[in-house]
Amino acid sequence: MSAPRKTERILIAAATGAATAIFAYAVLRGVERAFYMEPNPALLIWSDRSAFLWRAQVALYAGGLGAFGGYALSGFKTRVIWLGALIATGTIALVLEAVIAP
Amino acid sequence: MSPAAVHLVARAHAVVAWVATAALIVALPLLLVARRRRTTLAISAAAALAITLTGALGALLDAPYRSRIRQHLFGQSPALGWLFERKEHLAFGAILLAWAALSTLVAARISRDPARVGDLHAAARVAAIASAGLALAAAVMATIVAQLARMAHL
Repeated sequence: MSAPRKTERILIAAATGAATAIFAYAVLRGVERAFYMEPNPALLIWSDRSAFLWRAQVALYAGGLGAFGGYALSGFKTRVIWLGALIATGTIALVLEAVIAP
Repeated sequence: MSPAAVHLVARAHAVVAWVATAALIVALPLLLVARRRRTTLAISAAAALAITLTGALGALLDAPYRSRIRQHLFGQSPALGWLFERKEHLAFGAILLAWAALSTLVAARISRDPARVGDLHAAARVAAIASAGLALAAAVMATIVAQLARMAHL
């Protein structure tokens, strides 16, 4: 198996980052719902900060860290079966989070 | 943002969201059948750009949603409120998965190793199917909430 080009590794890293961000988002929301009390949205008149945008930013940061891992992993002269599995895992985690802990 | 501007952005958000969802769905059969075709790449890129534009418009609407709509929505029906929150989570995933599909597709196009090309195509398929599914679910959820909220004059 030949070594991947640098552009190919960067693209694999980007996909890894995206999948990691999705997984991180699902975990963050799950932790929020499980361990922190939230005010009743029907009684909350105004919130200064958006919890959704904050969560998205933290998840994207985690995705950025995951991208470095993806770049490192793609440097090995091996197959990248793990990428499809990682994307599927992130998606399943997000769907479960949306159903169980919206 | 004035109420008229919010209304305009919300309309644009809805239209672009359905266009992006359609593009993601159109790209699916091409991705499942064809290999290394420029059309597949072009449609995937257009879909990723359109869904990102949808997300940007949605982010613009976040502050007006929190200050003017959220409380009324949950007050009228908590189920409807939670449906909208669910839609936000799925939309976030759909955007990132569209970019994951595009980057794996481009990586497969430039890769020299046949085994790795196969793996990257498989990953692109998973990401594209997931992105289209999540985008469709989010678009349907948002339409349901918009219709029911309109009926309740929110």
